Amino acid sequence: MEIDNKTKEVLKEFSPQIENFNRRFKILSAILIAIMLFALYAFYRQEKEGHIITGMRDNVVWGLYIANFVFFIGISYAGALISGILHLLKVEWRKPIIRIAEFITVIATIIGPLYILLCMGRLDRLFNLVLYGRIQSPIIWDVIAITTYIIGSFLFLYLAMIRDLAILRDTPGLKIGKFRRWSYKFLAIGYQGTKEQDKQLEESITIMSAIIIPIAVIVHSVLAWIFGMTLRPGWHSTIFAPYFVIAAIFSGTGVLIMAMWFYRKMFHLEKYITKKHFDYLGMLLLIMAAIYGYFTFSEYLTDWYTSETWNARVLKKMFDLHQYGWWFYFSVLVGNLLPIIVIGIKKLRTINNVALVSAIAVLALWVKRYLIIVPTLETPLLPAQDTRMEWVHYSPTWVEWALTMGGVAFFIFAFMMLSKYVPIVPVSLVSKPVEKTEEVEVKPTVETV
Amino acid sequence: MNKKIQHTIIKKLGRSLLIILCVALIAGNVSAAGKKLKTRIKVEYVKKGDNTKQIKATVSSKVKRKRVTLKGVALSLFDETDSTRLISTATTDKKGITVFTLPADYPVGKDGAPSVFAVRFDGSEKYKPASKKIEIKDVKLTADFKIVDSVYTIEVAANEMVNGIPDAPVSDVDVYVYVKRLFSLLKVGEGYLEDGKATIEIPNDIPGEYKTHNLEFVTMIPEADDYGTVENNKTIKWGAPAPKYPKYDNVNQRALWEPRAPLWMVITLGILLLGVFYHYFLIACKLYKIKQLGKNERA
Amino acid sequence: MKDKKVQKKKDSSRRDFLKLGVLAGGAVVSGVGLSAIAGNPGSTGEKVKVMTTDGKLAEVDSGMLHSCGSCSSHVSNEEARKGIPGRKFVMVIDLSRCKNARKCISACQNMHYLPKDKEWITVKLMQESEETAPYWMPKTCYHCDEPPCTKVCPVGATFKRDDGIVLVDNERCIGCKFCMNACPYGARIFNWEKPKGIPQEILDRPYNIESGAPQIFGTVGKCDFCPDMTRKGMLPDCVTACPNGVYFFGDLNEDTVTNGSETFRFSELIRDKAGYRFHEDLGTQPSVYYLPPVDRNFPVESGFKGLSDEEKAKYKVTDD
Repeated sequence: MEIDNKTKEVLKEFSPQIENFNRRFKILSAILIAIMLFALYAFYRQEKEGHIITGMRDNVVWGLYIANFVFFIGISYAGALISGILHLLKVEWRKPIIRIAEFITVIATIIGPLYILLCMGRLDRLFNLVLYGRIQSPIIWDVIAITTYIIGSFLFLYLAMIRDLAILRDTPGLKIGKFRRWSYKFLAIGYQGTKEQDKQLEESITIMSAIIIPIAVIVHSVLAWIFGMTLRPGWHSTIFAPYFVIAAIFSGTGVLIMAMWFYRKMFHLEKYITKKHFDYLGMLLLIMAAIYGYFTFSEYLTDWYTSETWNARVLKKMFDLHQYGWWFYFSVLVGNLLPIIVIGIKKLRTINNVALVSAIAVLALWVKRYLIIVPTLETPLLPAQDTRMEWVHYSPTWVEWALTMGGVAFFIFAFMMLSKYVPIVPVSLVSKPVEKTEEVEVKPTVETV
Repeated sequence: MNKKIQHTIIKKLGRSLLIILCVALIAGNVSAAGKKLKTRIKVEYVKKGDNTKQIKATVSSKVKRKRVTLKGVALSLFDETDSTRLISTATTDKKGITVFTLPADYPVGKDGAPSVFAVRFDGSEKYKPASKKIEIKDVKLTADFKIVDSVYTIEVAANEMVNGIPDAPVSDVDVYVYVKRLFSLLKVGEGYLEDGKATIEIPNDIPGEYKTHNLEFVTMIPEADDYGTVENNKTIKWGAPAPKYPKYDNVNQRALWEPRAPLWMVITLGILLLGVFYHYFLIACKLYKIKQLGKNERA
Repeated sequence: MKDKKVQKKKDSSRRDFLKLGVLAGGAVVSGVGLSAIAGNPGSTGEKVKVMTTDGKLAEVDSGMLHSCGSCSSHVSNEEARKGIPGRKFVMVIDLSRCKNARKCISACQNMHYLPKDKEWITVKLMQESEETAPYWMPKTCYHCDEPPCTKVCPVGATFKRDDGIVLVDNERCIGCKFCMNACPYGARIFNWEKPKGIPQEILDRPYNIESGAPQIFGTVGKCDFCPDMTRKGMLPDCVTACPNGVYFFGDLNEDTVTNGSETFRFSELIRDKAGYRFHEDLGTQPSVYYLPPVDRNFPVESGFKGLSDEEKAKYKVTDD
């Protein structure tokens, strides 16, 4: 494949990023690996001694792990949505950021399900899900949906990477190892950039962009239904599926903005990731915050207004400042209103500010997931008596925190490694002219078929 | 007002009982400290429907003010009607119970005189010996199952037996009718024997065995002084259909909790998966095509 | 008609006896003691004190004692999933008789080889509102006819049998705990840790669904209506262990329930004593009925008598 000059130019800019493993990178990797190893040790202890060493007990049988599970699956929406919708709409400014978004999707979709595995008492019997799976169970819905989603996100990421892989394959003089060069060759599957190949690839990406969106919606709805299908106050809610979907887009956008900010700073991508990106995604974050706030308000207003006993007991815990009050108000007021205010006022809408409120919103959403799970489980229908006293309330132990940190470390580490493998900005896309002209080129070939 | 009076009476009663109890406790302690413990044997005689006889003995003692049954106690059963004759020995089970079973043809109430049975415990290091005697006359209990004016009726007749021949009718004792249930006997009727006869009506809505609608009736004179317990068993198709059966049998509702999922769920899931994986397949095909095109290009 | 009257008479006379028992303080215990050996497992949980002939108190493994101790039921897994043909088990709990004697709990623990702190049966001190009277409420698994736990099980490890019993196959359970969230009554207990204080001999036994023993680490357990006992025509241990005749158990198809000493027609008992099911609004269709705590045999405070400090503390727990 011949590489035009523009592409060469762009690639030249990015080659140091994929060639050099500098000290900063090595130190950070070492720290992350240490955290992951510690998490692995925690996992070993948990498997050896049982869930007794976690904070989960007969009342609160799910805790931090499930909160993390929901959280990670939530942020995986970044890729599905940003790349999917923006690709379908042929939005030009998506080009520099879709790879970041797709990385987030793939990595988060891998990490998320690991947390549900951590909740299982008998990991050695995982295969029973295949042997005896009952499709009435929302867990099986989840297993099927997430498996499908992982395959889909990998395909999507891969499809979008083929052109860049081919460029990397055909660029001589890159300071990379033999194996890596071979892997580019292998993964580029002989893509030469011919019109017919390009057409096939473009069609595949379009199909994938279209189909990844409903899959993502289903995945998060099913996730919500794990809670929605139980007879528990705060869980048994009809709006839970859309509520979770919105929360997912909200947090996905937030994480994407954070990642953009980091890469912009670290790799000096000011030329590609501009204020416009932060403005536009900030707007999306604002809209999502507004919708999410609307859902939250609707959910808690209806529960609070009727004051049905069991519901009221959960709400009391949420609103009580001596219990979960501070967390609740942080998540619904700060986490929700702050993005709207900061992004809504033009003067405040700086790149740093948008990134900052994104981080706050993401944190707030994580807290909210915790608040959805724990207070509900701490409020059984029958009085919490005749049980081990210390077993009523939940507080995560070091094992759970270690594995939570391990997940975050893995997320960052995987991101670092992936962006060493391919340029974080799709070289093939940003070096191409705007798509409008391209569309004219492609059209006649479609008609001839 | 009435309640108040009742209350004071109860209070007084309670207090006096408490005093009695205290006295008893002190007495009990004294005996426990020094001598062997007293043992008590309770004996029950049951003549079953098939004419076998059971003599059930329960051994107990008072230890530290609590009555406890004694496990593993060797008991001997004697027939002392004419002369003392050892019939059998056995050891009590974990509940302190031993059941001696006598065959159907074991003579009881020979020549009109009551048979005398005695259960003896020879004592041990800790427990005093004990024995208990019962005097039993043989009774034949017959039950005639009839439907009178569409009412299920059991006509009961009971006679003392002398050398296998019915003799004087049994009178002035209660007679009960039970049906056998999985865990116990359910009382469904009762009567009073006068001149050896009683008529007992049975409700017609008692659920029978789930398939045959059979009911096993046990007609019984319970624990009469002279006769012990006398039973008559009969199985007859007088049962009503079981109310819940066969709700959970052979009816596949495809309910959510059942092994098989509701059909709509299977179909929906099938369509969704088929739709998605068809597209994945499509993309795989396209990737293959790209690869082939690349090969051609190079060639 | 006549039949019913006699039943009622018998019932009330029993109650009178029990009332008297309360008035006389500890005297009621003697009435209980007679049958207590088998039912009362003492304080250790695993070992039971038994009086031998020579008057020594011997410690015996409780497994030797309870009525089904040596029977590792030989019913195959397939059969255990079907249930006992023609039966539909039902339980009636008479709240007017319960005084938190906790014998059901310890009997259950012995029966299923559960450690002391793992209770498949709990007794709650219920009080619906400040003005209503408190009462003791034993809570087993309700073996619902629309079991929410069974709906959500991803692997069919928990299932409902034709005889109405909801069981757990601890050898299939993957320990996802979803059923524990689905059950609104908190009937399910997780085996959080490796078994402690259970004789090796018990742990070495082959697992059987019907006996539910030995419980397996990392899986979910719960009250199982003792199907290995009922298959033999014997009452569950909680029923026989209760000194106050609180629990009635039987077959709905026979319309009969019994607590071991009294036997009633289920429909008449429920009708005459206004039986109800807990939280009917949840739509789970429990197989356990309650008789309301009216004309009680014991004042509610008597439920605290004889409790250890540790047990008393269990009732000071709140979820707030």
